[in-house]
Amino acid sequence: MKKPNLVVLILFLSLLWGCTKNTPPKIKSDLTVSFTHTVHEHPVVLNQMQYINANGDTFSIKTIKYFISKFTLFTENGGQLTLPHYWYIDINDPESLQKNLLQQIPHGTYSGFSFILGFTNEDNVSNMFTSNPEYLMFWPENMGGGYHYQKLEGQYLKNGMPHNFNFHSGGLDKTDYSIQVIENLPFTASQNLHNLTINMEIQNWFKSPVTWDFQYFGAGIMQNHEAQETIQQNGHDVFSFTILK
Amino acid sequence: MMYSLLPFLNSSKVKVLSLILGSLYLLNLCRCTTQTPTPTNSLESVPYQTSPYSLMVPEFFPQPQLSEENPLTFEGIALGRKLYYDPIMDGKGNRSCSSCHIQGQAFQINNGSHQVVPHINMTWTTKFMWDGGFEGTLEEVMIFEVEEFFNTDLSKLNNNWEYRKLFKGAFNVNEITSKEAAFALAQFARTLNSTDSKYDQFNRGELSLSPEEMKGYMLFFNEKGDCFHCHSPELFTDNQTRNNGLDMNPDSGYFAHSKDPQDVGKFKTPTLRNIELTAPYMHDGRFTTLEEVVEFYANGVQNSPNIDPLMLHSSAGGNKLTPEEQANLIAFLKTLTDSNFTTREELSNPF
Ligand code: HEC
Ligand code: HEC
Ligand SMILES: [Cu+2]
Repeated sequence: MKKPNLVVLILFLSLLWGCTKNTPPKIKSDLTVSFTHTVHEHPVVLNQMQYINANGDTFSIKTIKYFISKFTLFTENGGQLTLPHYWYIDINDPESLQKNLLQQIPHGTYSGFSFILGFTNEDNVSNMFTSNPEYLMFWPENMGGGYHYQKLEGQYLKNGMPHNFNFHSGGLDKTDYSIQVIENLPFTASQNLHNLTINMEIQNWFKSPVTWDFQYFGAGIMQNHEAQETIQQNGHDVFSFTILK
Repeated sequence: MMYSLLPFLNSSKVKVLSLILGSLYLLNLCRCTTQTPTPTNSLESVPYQTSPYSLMVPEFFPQPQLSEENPLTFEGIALGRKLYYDPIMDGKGNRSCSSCHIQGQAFQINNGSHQVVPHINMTWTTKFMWDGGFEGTLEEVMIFEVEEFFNTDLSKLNNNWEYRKLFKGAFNVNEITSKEAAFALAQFARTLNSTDSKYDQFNRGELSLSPEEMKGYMLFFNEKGDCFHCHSPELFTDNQTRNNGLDMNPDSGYFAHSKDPQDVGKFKTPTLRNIELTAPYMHDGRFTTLEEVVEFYANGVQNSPNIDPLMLHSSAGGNKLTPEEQANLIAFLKTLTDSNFTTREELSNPF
């Protein structure tokens, strides 16, 4: 594994070297975005009944799949730059955990960025995806159509017995439950490669302002407005960020 | 050889006889040569000429898995159809694919000794067989079918002048190998698509469902009935392996391939298209009617260790649908029957 990567890297670097000698310097920089997932700040271990949430329930995680859309950079003069992308992330698919934005960010200083977990109503259009895995994130028409924002699945213990939970969110009955995340983290885009790490802390879905009770909400919550609203509220602090230059 | 014997036989009768015999022999030689001409020479006159076939992908369906190496052609599909229905493929016995995959029964067989996986919408399939253990392309699974399951005797195909010509025309080969046979079968298989059921017509706004069917539709697509996450539209399968809670100690399923204990009891979500026609149900055929299946999902679900989280009601033993709701759900499942698929001329026996 290591060796071919190194060779590729050297080839790539020499290519870059060649370019910078002959062509004017790039005016846009590269950004890689990495997605990580933690429970109590430790990387998620799947299928282990070993976590305890704010409500005191022991639980395990099997699936984490979600969409991020409308990634927007705030420029210094108050402008906004929205990238025309959506991202699909699946903890079980390593390739989906890193997104490369090559030459898309104009050089300059930014005051922060924002994005949407899921899709805003205007973007949440049925049948916009025609291939898997995105296609399989559909949200049934009789519940409002469009796509799931997120599928977080696993089990919790009640009286020592495992019970399923499906923490699925989406635009129930066309209500916009998408979550806007705004981060005022200033950074400068220059010639170098930049990396932004977006971490999801699973515990925070279950904590504040509402302490999530698996038993109260039950295994399926797609048709439960109270649950969808709670997820939207609790989503305010699940993401944290690190920028590396 | 025959003539060298002649000097010893002096009677004129014998001479006449031997002349007749001799000419018969020569005549026979001639017949032989017209039947099996020196193959490559004559095949050269068979043109390799194919016309591309573009697969119609209906509205709402996902993109199909096509093969760059094996593009669809009218010639390839027609050849695949012949092979599918021809016992010449069987290296051990006298079966054709269609012995167990019967069009009128949605390309499976209801009373076979094995639970046959129907051939429905395989152009979208990435995991084959009940346990999903064969992962790969349709071309790869067909190579397995030809080489291992059917043990096809390729010399039988190569000795058949008609097939030699068809393979030359469709694949530009003088000698048929299992690859071309599999590719032709894969091309035909890509046309075994069921996309025109009553449900599809409803979806396209061409007709409406009856009140019972509509109630069943709602149950299917909401969390009360809880079917749609796995049997997800439009294929009515998500192409994943899952444990739907049939047994507390289930059969090994996908575990047999992955050796991951998490996979015990996982089988590929079967498509529900044409489900009315494909009894008995489940990988072991344990249920003979849809009533039994729906009753299982209502009250018989086992909360087994690897049960899929998407079985929302597993800790309650099922979705607890009332008999009336169960009947409505079955009415909806029957809207997935596609008689166009089970009778379409182009998919039928060409012989
Ligand atoms: C004796 C009956 C029989 C015959 C004849 C037969 N099959 Fe099958 N086929 C089966 C059974 C049984 C299965 C399911 C096996 C399993 O899941 O382990 C199956 C499954 C398949 C599958 C997997 C389908 C899916 O979507 O998972 C393919 C492909 C297939 N057969 C192709 C063929 C071809 C091509 C031929 C002819 C060359 C053929 N079969 C002849 C019994 C048969
Ligand atoms: C967790 C995913 C999942 C859910 C939810 C689910 N199924 Fe299934 N279904 C499966 C799997 C996997 C099988 C195959 C199991 C086996 O053969 O061992 C199956 C098999 C079936 C079969 C038999 C198919 C055949 O060809 O033999 C029918 C019918 C069926 N399901 C209907 C339903 C209905 C109706 C619902 C809703 C009440 C439902 N399923 C919910 C995964 C699911
Ligand atoms: Cu859902």
